[in-house]
Amino acid sequence: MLLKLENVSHVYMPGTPFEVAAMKNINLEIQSGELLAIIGETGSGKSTLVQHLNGLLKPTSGKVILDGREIGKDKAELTAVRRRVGLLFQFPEQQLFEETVYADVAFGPRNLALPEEEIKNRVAKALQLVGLDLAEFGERSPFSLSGGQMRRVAMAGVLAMEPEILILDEPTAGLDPQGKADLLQKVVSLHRQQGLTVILVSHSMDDVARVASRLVVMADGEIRLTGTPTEVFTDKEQLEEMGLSLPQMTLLMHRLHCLGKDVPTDIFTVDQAKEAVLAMLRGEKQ
Amino acid sequence: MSEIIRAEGLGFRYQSEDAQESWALSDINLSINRGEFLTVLGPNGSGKSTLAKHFNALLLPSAGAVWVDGLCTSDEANRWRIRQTAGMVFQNPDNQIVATTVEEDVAFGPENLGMPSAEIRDRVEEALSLVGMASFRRHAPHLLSGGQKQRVAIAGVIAMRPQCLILDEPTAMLDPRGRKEVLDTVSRLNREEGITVIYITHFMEEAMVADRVLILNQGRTELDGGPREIFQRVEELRAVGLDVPPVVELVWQLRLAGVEIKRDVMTLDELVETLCS
Repeated sequence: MLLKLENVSHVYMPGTPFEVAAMKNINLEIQSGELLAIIGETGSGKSTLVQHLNGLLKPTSGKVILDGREIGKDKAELTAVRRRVGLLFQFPEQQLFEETVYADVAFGPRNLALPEEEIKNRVAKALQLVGLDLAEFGERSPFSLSGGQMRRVAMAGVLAMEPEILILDEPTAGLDPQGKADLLQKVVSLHRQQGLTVILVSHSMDDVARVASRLVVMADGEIRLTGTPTEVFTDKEQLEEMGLSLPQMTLLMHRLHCLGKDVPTDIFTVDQAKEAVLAMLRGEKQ
Repeated sequence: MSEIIRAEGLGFRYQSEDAQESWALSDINLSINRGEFLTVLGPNGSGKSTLAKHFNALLLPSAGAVWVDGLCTSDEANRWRIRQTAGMVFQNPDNQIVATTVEEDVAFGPENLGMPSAEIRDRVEEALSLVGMASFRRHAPHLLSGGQKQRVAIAGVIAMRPQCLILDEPTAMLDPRGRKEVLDTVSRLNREEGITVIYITHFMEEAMVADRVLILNQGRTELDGGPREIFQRVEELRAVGLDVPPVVELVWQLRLAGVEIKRDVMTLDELVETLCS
């Protein structure tokens, strides 16, 4: 096991009229090699949770443990923790600041005082992982790129630190459908080919159902459901109560099933739904 | 129906340091009627935000002209009235918050119009209830979640009682419930208050509530029509990097596989009904 949260609570602005308990007694284990998705409504505590995983936030009570060592206990270890756990914030393109794409991606590795040759290798590799070519984009200003490209540059900046765990907070928000599909595809291949442990924060059921191996559903600062997408989506009523909706195709199958049609309900994508409906129609003809 | 916004031969290019300047918009001809709900779709970089900024004179045409309620945006004397006619909500609510409490933030616009304080109070209350944020009136806006902030930003514009509401991806950061609340609010303002709505989004399914859908690609009008009509053109939409809602896609796929379904089935309810009849 890689990361573990033990009875973690987090209270923002304690002792003021604005006091908010954003995380309430959370217990969660994250295994090495997982592609975990954390879903929940705005304000459910998702972003607060992931900011604990690399020591950006400290628990008000409880412990966050990385490979058996409590994060934040020894402040000197925090730099090492942040190198292992890379966090890409919401709208990360707003954090680009350098004059060229190369300089922006190189910023992190340079702060590690790596030799220039190694920095160059890392930048080239990171850009390649996000589907941008160093020769083509390296000398361009990040601000001359499209929104989707800027986001990928920001992601390359995190990857250049060569983290073991990559946390992406709403990575597809604001992207067009094509940009969204491309980015999710990149995340899946980082997980599969580079063996990265990936934690994806999202409120789009349609997005996460296709890629995640395990879902954690949060509401009101608590973990309400965990399991595979199929397991979690069987609890339609509770999800709706939490302001989350099933993927459209899953919803369709549930509706057909309720009306007595012979269809499976563990279906998330249009392709799966097409096969299921065709099979249903064939069955009815016979 | 009378016209509220008109664009004729509208072209725009951003001034850049590179010698090469590219046209962000070219030859846009558009007439938007009073009370219409127009959704603008298009891939990133297609010119949606650039177009929207022409409707309240934040940007001025490099070619052609734009009129808002009969006022030409290129004439500086009209600018104040145009901005009272067409209110704009931007993509990122963080850049729009100016005050230290929610109610003061929403009051900012009406205060600048020099209204009596009782009137300001009424408008702020009404605007906050319309977006479901009345109970947060004394909260600090910077401590709200992204979705809540966006609703406050919408309230700030609604408090100005504009005839026309322009929203530039207002739901990009919201969860399904927040998105529905915003879209329902905007639809209600359109239906019940008769406010003209221009709604830019990446969520294809949000376009279904619109009277009319405009698809932009590389700064030009690609398609313009009712949502049912537009969503049947799956291949053309794909070609410009857009997608159709899952139900529409499934209907299209099933039709390709030889299943007899009417091509304009667009919602989940309609599809369930079709498959069970």
